[in-house]
Amino acid sequence: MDTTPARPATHPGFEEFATAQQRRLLGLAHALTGNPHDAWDLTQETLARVAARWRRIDDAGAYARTTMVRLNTDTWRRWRRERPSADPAGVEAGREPGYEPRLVGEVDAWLLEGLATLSADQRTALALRYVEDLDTRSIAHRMGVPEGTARSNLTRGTARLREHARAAGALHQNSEETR
Amino acid sequence: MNQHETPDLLDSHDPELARAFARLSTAYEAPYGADELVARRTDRLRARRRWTTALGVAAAAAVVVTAGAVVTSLPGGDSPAPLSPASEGPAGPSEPSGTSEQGEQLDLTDPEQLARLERRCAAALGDSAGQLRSAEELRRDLEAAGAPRECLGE
Repeated sequence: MDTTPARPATHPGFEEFATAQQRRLLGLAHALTGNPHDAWDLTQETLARVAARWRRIDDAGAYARTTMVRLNTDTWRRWRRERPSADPAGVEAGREPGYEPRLVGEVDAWLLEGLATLSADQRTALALRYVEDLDTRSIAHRMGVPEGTARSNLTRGTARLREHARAAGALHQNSEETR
Repeated sequence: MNQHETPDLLDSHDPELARAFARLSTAYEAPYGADELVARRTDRLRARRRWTTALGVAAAAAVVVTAGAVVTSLPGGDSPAPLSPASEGPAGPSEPSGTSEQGEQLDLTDPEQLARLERRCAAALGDSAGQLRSAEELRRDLEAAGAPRECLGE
């Protein structure tokens, strides 16, 4: 039996958008979630939601990123909370075996470990700062929080990550002096 | 650097962290292309919409059944007849019912069938614990998924 899903017929222009943005969205998702599996789930869900609203969206890139951030801090966080603790790797029933993201570059283990120690909001603020290169106001807008909250998440998250990197011997002294 | 950058952010911009994030954000490649991704996910979303429609019917039925139970339990003995007691044979034309994705006719006044449907809907919604979400959470997800308005109870 052919299990290849039917292609959606009514999204002209979407496929080009998704092809161009998929890798960058996956990168943002990785920084948001801290692991490639959740990142891939989040990327898929985000693109599916963009597809569903494609004809009503003006700025698809901004819409996709806002959707991704809010999905991560809302739905994804809730799902993680509700998952049984016996599933620490986050492997859930709906995941497609054999279709995992492929490692093609380098990952700093200390960064992943450090991200795992942050709150979801701190991780989100840092992802938007360092992956998307946004300022505080834009980060606050993307997260749907006041600017002061975004600033606080960013500052505390950065400090904590620096601390973690320093403990792992990954942060150079002169990097700390740039603060 | 963003032109709207503020001094506090300049302070928190660490070049080492920036490089590490840059490596992280390009470290992985998607297992398949955008076209297949959308097709696969769209299939899942469609399935979810079908089940959330069924879930909406189930939730409405639960409200009706609960309301009936409350009314019949009122003291005084002259309360209206129960709306659709589960133990009195098959559902009539005015009673809540639905059709499953497989085409089975469901009697949603039957607590067992209702519970079974809820578990299937919850599973279809990706909740591996088999617990239904709160109405507000479900509504947000349905809205985000572009579900028909009747799924939202409107």
